[in-house]
This record gives sequence, structure tokens and C-alpha cells, in this order.
Amino acid sequence: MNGIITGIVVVYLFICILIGIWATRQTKSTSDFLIAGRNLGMFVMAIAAFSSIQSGFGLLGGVGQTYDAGMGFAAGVLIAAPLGFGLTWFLVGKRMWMMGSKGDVYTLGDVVEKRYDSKAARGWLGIAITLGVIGYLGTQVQAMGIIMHSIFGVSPKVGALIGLTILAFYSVGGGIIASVYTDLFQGIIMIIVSIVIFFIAINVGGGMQTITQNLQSADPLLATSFGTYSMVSIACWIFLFSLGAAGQPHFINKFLMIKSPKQLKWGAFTAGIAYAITVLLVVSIGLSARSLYIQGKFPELATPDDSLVVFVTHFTPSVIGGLVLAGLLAAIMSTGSGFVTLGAASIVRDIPRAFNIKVKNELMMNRIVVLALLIISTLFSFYMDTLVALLGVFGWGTFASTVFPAVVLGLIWKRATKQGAIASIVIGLFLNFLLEIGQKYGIVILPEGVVVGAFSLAISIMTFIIISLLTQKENVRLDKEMLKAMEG
Amino acid sequence: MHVSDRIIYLFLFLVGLSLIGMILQSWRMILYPYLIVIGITILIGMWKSIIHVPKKICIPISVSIIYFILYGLLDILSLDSIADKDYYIFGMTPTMALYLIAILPSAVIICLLYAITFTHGNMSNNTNENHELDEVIK
Repeated sequence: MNGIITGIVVVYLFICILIGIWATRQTKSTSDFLIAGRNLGMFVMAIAAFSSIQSGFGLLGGVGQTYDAGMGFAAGVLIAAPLGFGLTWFLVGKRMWMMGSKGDVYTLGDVVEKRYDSKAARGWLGIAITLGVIGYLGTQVQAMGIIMHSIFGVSPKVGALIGLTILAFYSVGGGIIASVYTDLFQGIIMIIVSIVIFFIAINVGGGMQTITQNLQSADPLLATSFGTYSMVSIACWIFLFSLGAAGQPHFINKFLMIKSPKQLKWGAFTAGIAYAITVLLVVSIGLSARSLYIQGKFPELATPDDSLVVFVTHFTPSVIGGLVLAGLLAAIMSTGSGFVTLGAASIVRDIPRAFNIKVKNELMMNRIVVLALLIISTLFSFYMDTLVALLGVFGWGTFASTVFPAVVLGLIWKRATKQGAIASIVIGLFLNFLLEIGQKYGIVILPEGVVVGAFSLAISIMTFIIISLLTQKENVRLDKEMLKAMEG
Repeated sequence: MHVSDRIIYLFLFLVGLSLIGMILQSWRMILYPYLIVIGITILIGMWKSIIHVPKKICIPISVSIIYFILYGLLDILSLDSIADKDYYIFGMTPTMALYLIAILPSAVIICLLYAITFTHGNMSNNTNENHELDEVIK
């Protein structure tokens, strides 16, 4: 890798460290560490929300999947995500903010306990989020290893460790403040880079029509909006990635951090348009790289996940290449930092409180657990051999099917019960894990093309509503404040 | 029956249809019910606004209809997109162009709709408005 690219990435990492030092000084309480002192403005929150959703699996995995099999992954996953921002703001924007205004609400566990008056629901949600964080964070570690390997020439494992050390530095000290402000910096890099690379990639490919014709010459399906993907998978992805966005804890807990409801107004549009811009990067590089490959101008790849890095290092100016790789690291690290803080909150706050245990010195314990989670996720990722994009889909599905019914539907529907919430969390969690593990070992239960996360989300939503209807006698009386929050 | 219950039952029915679509491997049965779910989601978000201006109910309905038109058109175009090798829109095949020029921006427009319909004053109103909404919908 040439010096300019390496230099740009080093500068980027250095800025992340500086933000981490600043954020550590700003972090004086658990509220600062977990919800940024409930003091974020619209732009910071919206860009942080976008950055935390647009992760290593969206960019690195998205380009890989587009290169490998055409537009289908983008058509299903990446085009559904901006829609997910709009739907999430509509569904829970005001409701989550108002829950946060009730005081001492720092986590989704806090929200669930207040909504259902149930420590068990809080505990189960805490367990689901912790497991999801470990799995999802593993994908970020894996993606970080690939990028660091490409930039610095070290092995992917060593590369992942370098990146994680920096991530740990700013996440342990600065918590969510470090996370959202690095997200802001990283999000802006992603947006700028995506706009620039879109034009470069189309130009390198010889123009859109040339790219299309090259794709058609190899396989006409590659030039269609669905590529060679199964239509069933694409429909499942649209369902999972737009509706399921409201179930992503690293996204919706950011509504607890906004300083006033006025800040909600332009958030969805800001996050949605930012994400849509990054879709251009994925589609343009993926299709252009494949077109070049068909012409014999693109090298053979060990894995499709390498396509983005190979494209920017071989076909773009060094400065652009450096910015793209910095943007890619940004996507990975911003998601990772949000996750570790979230996981720590579940372990230190939600799970102990489910057993009536209140951890003393929460701030210190959160910092220790952030470090522990990074180590566990790293070990987990070293034993995985699945493509980044597919692992990401798994992580998203786990969160969507466990969080969406209990939190999102629970904040909308007064007749929801704690039994419904717990049943949906447990079923969502087990379905995702059992079906995914089964698939990994050749035990396929679902029809071909059906995405495990989408199936689990549909089942957990149905479980939540049906069990709630069956347990109406157990429904808690909601106080006035809660009713007001639920009306949004 | 409260309107929120009716919406949840409709939601349950549509998600159930999508689930059956998954089991039967019918992508249309997964996708088309979900396009109505998108409208319902926006309806839930706009409840209070619709109470004050009932005509606003046309917004979530229009969103679902527009998505139906876009995906319906995509469905029709996809049927013979492979044979259609000589027709390009901005250098893209018609299905690709429809996706990138219409369906992707539609998602951003829904985000914009949130800003346009946002009413901050609603957050301090009283809790009886659910009942008012029942009356409006009835």
C-alpha cells in the first residue's frame, strides 16, 4: 500500500484518538457515558444514527455482494435501510424521546421495565442485546481485519487488534459521547467519499451504459435490479431491513440522547439522505469492478469482500483511495463503538437490575465491560469464516426480532403485556440462533431463499401480539405519563 | 374496539400474510402485504396529526399506493427484462433505473415526509386524543 493511503488512514485514526481524549474529559457520569447527558442536537444525532447503521457489512459486504451477484443485495438491504430511518422516526421517535424524559432512562432495558413493570422483560432484553452485540461486533472486527491487512500489510488478526485497540481507547474512556462524535466525524467522511467515488467508479468503468453492456455480456441478470439473487431473499431483506431498523438498539437508543423534541424534525431526512448517498458508493464500485473483471482488467479475488479495497487501491488516485479506506474504517468503527457501549449497558445495568442488583460505580464498571466485550468479540470473530455481509444480516435479524416487538410495538399498543414481550424476545432470540447455526451445519429448515432474520421477525411479531391477547388479565395499568409517551 | 387495536390486528394479518409468503416461497406474497405495512407505520406515526387534520390520512394511504405502483411496475418490467437488451435509461436497464431513480429516492421522500408532517406541539397534549382518533376513523 502506498504512503499517501497509509498516511491518510493514520491521520484518520489519530483524529479518532483525539476525539476519544476530548470525550473522556466530558464523561463524568453514567448518564454521560450511556446517553451523552441527553444533550445531542439534530445533526449530531442523525449522522450518528446513520453512521451506526451504515457499517462494515453495508459497505464492505455490500460492495462484495454487488460485485459477486449484482444489485440484489443493494436492492433488498441497502435501499430498505433509508426507508427504515423514516419508518423508525414515525414509529418511535417521539415515543422514545418522551420515555427518556421520564428520568433515569438510559437503556432499552429501562424503557421495557417502565413499560411493562417487569424486571424479567428487562433481563431477557438485556441478554438478547448482549448476545447480539457479541455477534454483530464480531462482523465489525472481521471487516476491520480485512481493511487493516490491506492498508498496513499485517495479518487480518493483527490488523483487527490494531483497530480494536484504538476503538477500545476512545470507547472505554468516552463512552457514547466518544461514539457519537467519532460517528459524526466518520459519517461526514463516508458521505463525502461516497459522492466522489460514485463519479470516479462510473468513469473508471467507462460510463454507465458500458458497465451495463459488459454485465449483460457475461450474464444479463447482473444488469437487472435484482442481480442473480433469489427474489424471495430480496423481499425478505426489504421487510427485515426497513421495518427491522426500528429494532436496532444502537440506533433507537439515540432517541434517548436528544436534548429536545424539536430536534427530531429533520433527523430522519438527514440520516436517510446520508445513507442513500452511501448506497451510490456500493452500487457504483460493485458494478464497475465486476464490469472491469469481465473485461479482464480486474484481478482475481480470494473473496468478494476484497473487491472494494482492491478497486480503490488499483483504480482510484491515492488520496481518494486513502479517504475511501478511512471512510470504510469509519463505518466499521462507528458501528463498533455504539455496540460496545450498548452491550456494556445491558451487562452492567439491565441484567443485574433484572435480579434486583444495583451495580455500584456504574461508570467504572461500564468501562471495564466495554473492554471485556471487545476482547470477547475479537475471539468470536477469529473463529468465524462467513462473509461479512451475511454475518451482518444475522446480527441485524437477531436485534430486529428481539427488540422490535417488545420495544416498538410495546410503545404503540396499550394491550401489550409483559408475557407477550418476554415470549417474543425469547422466541426471536432462539429462532435466529438455532436456524442460523442449523444452516451453518447443513440443517436447513426454512424454504430456499428465506432469510432467517425476516422469518424470525415475522414470528416474533405474531407471538408478541397473540400472547399479549391471551394474557390480557395480566395487563398492567399504565400511568398518565406512560400513556402520554405512548401517544407520541 | 379501539383504533389502535384495529391497526395492530391489521398489522398482524399483513405480517402473517408475509410469513405465509415466506413459507410458500412467494416473493409477491411477502412484499405486497408489506407495502401496506409501510403505510400503517406512517399512520401510527401521524396519529395525532390526523386527529387535528383528518384529511392527512391520505398521506399514509398515498405512500402505500405509490409503493404499489413502483413495485408493480418493477414486477412487470422484470418479467421481460432479460430479453430487453437494447433499451437503456441513463445507461441502465429499465429495472435498474426504476430502482435507483424512483424507489431509492422514495425512501428519502418518506424521511422528508416526517419533517413536513412533524408537529412538535403534539407532544404536550392530553391522553384523551386516542379516543378522539377512534371517532375520527369511525
